[in-house]
Amino acid sequence: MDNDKTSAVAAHNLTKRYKGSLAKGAAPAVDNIRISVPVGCCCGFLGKNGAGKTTTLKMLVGLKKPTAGEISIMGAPQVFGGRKQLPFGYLPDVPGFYPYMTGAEFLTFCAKLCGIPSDKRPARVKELLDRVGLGRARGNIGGYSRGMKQRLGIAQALVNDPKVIFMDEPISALDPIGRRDVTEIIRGLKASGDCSIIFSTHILADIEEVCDFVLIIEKGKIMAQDYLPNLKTKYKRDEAEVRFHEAEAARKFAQAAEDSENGLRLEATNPLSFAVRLPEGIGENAQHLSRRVNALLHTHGLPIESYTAHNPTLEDIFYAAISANVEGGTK
Amino acid sequence: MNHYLVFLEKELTENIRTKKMLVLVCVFFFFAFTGPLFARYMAEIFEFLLPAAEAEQFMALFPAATWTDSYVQFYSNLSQMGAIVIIFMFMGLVLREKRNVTADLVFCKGVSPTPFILAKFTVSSVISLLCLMLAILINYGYTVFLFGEGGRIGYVLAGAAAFGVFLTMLIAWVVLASTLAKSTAISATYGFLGFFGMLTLSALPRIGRFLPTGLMTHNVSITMGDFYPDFAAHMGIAAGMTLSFLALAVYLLKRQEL
Repeated sequence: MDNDKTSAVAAHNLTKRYKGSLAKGAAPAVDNIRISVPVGCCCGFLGKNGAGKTTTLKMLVGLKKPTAGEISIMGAPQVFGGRKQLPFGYLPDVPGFYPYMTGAEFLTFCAKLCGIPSDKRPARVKELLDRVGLGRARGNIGGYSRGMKQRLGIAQALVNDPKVIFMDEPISALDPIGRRDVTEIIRGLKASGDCSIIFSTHILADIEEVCDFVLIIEKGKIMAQDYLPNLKTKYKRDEAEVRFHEAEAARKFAQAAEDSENGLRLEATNPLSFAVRLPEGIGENAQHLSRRVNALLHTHGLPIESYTAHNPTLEDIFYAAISANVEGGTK
Repeated sequence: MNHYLVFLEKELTENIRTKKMLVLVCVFFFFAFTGPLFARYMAEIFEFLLPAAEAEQFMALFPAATWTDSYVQFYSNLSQMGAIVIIFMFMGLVLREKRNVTADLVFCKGVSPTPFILAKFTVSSVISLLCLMLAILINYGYTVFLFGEGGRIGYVLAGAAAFGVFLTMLIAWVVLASTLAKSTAISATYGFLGFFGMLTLSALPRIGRFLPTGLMTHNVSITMGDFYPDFAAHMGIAAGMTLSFLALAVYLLKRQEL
């Protein structure tokens, strides 16, 4: 693998086909994917339910055996059943704990498994509990709320001071307060720069809030992977929204566009605003579009409230990326 | 810290805090006390429960109770109810960790399944054996108290040790069943199939003598100093089967996806 040294996580030709799926002619759960997540980034792993996120993550952390492909974490090969301690932490979808233990006892248990020396364990456990806001939590884990368990799950994933942390849907099932708390912890981890973060979700807002790198998976295939600004540039359309103060001005603008020969295509988004674009073949750049809109407004003396060039949201990117798979599949 | 020791500590804590150990202590001690009691007062119990004429007829069929009857009661209870309790108690040992996702957290930390399985087996076996040994000592003391004698303590302990070896093998089988199964019901089914299957097969003339069920059915004769001919062979077979079940459980868990 060429970029192992610069990738926190790299996977080449990774495929997972469950037993029986071949006979039934079903598509593999993960289909020959290539992943390269740069060191130090917070990566959102986005996909619909059943797209292959959990299967991919479980292969990456060594809990599922790939049908084919290679994985490396911080340059070290990840082998199913290899039992070598690699520098990563993992938070499962619904983390399970021993309900008869306290949070501190569970973290101490994890610290022992990770080989942290006994003289450093108490301080490490206390630091982690404080970091995830469970420093004052009392009682056994059996009495913890779901949000508290999720935070404890993050703490156990951090116990070995990992270089990469994988989190499977860490926020999706939490209530608003739990979501805010866990999002803050992830934001804090990202800000500390201690480790790369990869977390899966099907909620776009979660990723837009904290991630700088995005992986989009659909039907077991990676449809997009890049830094978010790069994806925004890639999926940007030459389109703008023109908004008027008054409905009368908006109506005149629509009429003027229809009568003129500058070829602007309008789509009313509400009585005061329009999405404007150029027809294919006339021009494909944003400056060309703004000049034509400006000329039309100037000619007819129409004042506007705002002119906003198209800036794709993650939702736009996601739908554009997965629709490429749908189109590909129907060909 | 050695992973095996870490898991030992965790399993011991689990058995104490979830009161599994208490349940085992109660079951074994119940049999320890009721064995001699039922043996000594069987006549009085029937007298109390049945009309006088019927009780007299009934008791005429039985000779007077002796100290060996308390061991007969103890081992017959333990080989039936005790074994069932053991299967129920430990049928989720590995399965529960897989279903509750605690196994995911443990194994993604680079931990081998070997100490994981061995620690579960060790703690379950040691607790069961301690309960058994304490129970047999109680049974012995109570038998001496009620009958005036309780046999030679060395033979009494040897009878319990034979039962303990069988119990250890049963626990290893339950650990394997729990590793294989994908649900608690299936794990219990494997556990009971193994136990009752072995009992059934042991009745067959050619196969029977190679199965160590004698360790569970000849305890009273061992207690009386009479070691049956296949005793040593059965001890060896039981030990071999225990190791095989554990090795298979480790092998399977290493290849299982979570």
